[in-house]
Amino acid sequence: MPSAKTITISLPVAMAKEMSVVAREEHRTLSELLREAFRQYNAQRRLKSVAAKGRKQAKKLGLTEKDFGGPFEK
Amino acid sequence: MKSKSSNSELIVCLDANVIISAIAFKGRPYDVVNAALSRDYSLVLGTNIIEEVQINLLQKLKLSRGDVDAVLDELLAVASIYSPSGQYKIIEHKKDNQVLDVALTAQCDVLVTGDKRHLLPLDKVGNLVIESPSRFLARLAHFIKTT
Repeated sequence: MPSAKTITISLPVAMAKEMSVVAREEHRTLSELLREAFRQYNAQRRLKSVAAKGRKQAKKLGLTEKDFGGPFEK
Repeated sequence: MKSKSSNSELIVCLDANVIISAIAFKGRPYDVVNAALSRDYSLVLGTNIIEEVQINLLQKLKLSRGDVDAVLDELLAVASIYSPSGQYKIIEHKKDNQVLDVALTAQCDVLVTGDKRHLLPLDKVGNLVIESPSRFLARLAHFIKTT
């Protein structure tokens, strides 16, 4: 099985141009740039999803920062 | 392991309480963790810190193993991981001393913590700045703006 899949995506012309400029500046290929953008997007999405569950759990269990050794400085 | 070779990014260690607060209470700690995932700074974590996060999220917050692994996988993907070296004896409190040890061993610029008892009062140890999530976010914004 191949380790990479080639896909076609469409972008507004201005965005595609800007992407090429950034790729050149950062010495990266467009594929690398898009992979990194998706990695970041997905990582933040996962954090957001788990943090939503975490806050729900803290509320449900009546936990405060004290239960984790706090109160903490913000 | 990553050595301190570039001035173009801040090398930052997060204490476990920052990551736990981010997930259990959101607020400024959440912004700090989110910025690590965006690679706005170079993240350093200790094996001791990862273990503390894992135990608290699983046992106290009672999140599922899958959810805890999901967050830790994302952090580990962007972090340099160190073990406490045992070289530094700065404070008596063993657990917090190990956090300092990791930050110093990794030659971090900043240790971000919410710990008001042992770590924040130190303010600075050698070149290592110890500060709260809010103060760190202000530093990071300034750093990004000026580099």
